Amino acid sequence: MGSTKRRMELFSFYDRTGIQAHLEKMAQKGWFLEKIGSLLWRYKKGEPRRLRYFVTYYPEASGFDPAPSEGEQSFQKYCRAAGWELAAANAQLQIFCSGGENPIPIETDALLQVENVHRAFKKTFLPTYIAIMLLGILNLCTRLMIYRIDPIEALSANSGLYLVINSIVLILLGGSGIFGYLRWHRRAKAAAETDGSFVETRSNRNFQKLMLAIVIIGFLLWFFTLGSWLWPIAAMALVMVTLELLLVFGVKALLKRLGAPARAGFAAVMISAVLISVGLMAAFLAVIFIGVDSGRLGPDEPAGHYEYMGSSFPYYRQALPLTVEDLVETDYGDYSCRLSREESVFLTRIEGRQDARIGAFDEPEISYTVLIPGLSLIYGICLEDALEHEPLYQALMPLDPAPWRAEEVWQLYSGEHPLNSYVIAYKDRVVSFRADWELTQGQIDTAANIFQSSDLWSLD
Amino acid sequence: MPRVKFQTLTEPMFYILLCLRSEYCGMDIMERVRSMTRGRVTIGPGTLYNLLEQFAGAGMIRETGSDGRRRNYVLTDKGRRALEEQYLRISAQAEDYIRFSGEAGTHGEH
Repeated sequence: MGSTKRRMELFSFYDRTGIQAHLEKMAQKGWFLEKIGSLLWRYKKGEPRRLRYFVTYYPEASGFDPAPSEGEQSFQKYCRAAGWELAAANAQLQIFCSGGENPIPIETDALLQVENVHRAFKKTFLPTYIAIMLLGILNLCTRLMIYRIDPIEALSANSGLYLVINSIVLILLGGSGIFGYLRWHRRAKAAAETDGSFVETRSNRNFQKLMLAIVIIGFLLWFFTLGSWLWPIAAMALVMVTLELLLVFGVKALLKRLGAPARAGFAAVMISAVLISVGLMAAFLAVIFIGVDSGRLGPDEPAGHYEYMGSSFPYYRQALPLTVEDLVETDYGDYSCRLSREESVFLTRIEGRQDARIGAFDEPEISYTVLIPGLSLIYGICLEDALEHEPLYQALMPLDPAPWRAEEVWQLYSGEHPLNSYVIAYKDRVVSFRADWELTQGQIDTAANIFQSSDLWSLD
Repeated sequence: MPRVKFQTLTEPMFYILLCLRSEYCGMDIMERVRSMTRGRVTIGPGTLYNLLEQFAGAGMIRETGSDGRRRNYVLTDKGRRALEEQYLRISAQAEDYIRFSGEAGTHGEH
């Protein structure tokens, strides 16, 4: 075992009772708090012994102070005179320890203690909790907006679900932090004003651990259900976020080392955070764009490229469930066949298209989208999406569903001219199908067989 | 009912001001108060620090000098008045107690 270890300690900032009990337990196991970092607490190994810990707050301190202020040093000197040594401090949070049997508590006036914690809360922790909640609300609103604009897109990707879960977790964490603190503050202030007694804090570590577990499990589920082509992009996104955190914390540490005043340090860190974010995002998007454009990144690599009128076009050779050859006889051999599939717990979306090369205007082409809802209540959304059309110059006319062996079928019309575009509603799926010729009964029968089959949709 | 700040003084506040009738080092007040009250009143270092800062902010004490990190304080006129008022309040309460606790014993009243 090494001489130091680092742990993520999920304590609310005001949870004095929980923090003190935890540190005393750690000391009895021979681990002594040495440093409180932004994410991790560092402990050093020593002889197990009984120590008393006391958590207090110095509201005037700031995480951007280059060094403890004169007032803070005086405060720590007063504590030392009473037998309390500073174990670790991080901005307003100050943790002292004493080896004495019954040292005088650092705080003996309950009302003053409540006022101190409240000042620290208003200055730093309340804005942090609000920022966390706002981030969650902003993310959630963005997802809802995407859902409004394109519900199928929003529902068919696990990333959307993961972001919604994350957003809810952020809102719950921020909200529970504020609510938990205010509940303690109300009780503690009332007790202090009534009889001067202290009120212990209630830990919500288990709740925070649960939230963290949800985020981690959600992330793993999301990552491993991504299409393999998305793994490099997801990995790049992770690297980008990690790099951003390291750079921003690095800037903060550098400014402290250079002795920058707290306010200037705070402003500089905020500005650098924005600049680093923008810079990294631009680099990330550039890499994605170049990768997709060159074919190195993308759901599938083209089988090749062909030239037409001085431009280059990709073509694909992917297996399709339904092909032109299933419906008509053709000896055209230059089709591009492309299949894409997105899947989430809510919805599976499969899009297939078989296109002739540009310029081969007489060759038959088809395209189709199959939406398979994972939950029955999503079915209505799928149908509504498939039935979307331009009401000014298009209309959907119901057809006899029997040839398609479906529940309902519609055909798209442009004015009075029927288009070879159909929406077919089966019991468990909705299909949008387009051919560029008028289908015969036999061809409809073949297409219906394939659309209703579940085996052919597997990509394994 | 919440007390108005410094209108009435808690015991720790009272004894801090009492110590500072003459110039005294802030850090030594903890031990001084304990010995004055024979251990009945103890003031934690954090509480002492905060009260000294608040008294100084309210103009009831002033810093007279510092030797490194040891700061000395003394009462101001405002502080003396607050201390005097508290003493008069406590004295009046003590007199009322003596007067009426004797009556209660005689007449069975509370």
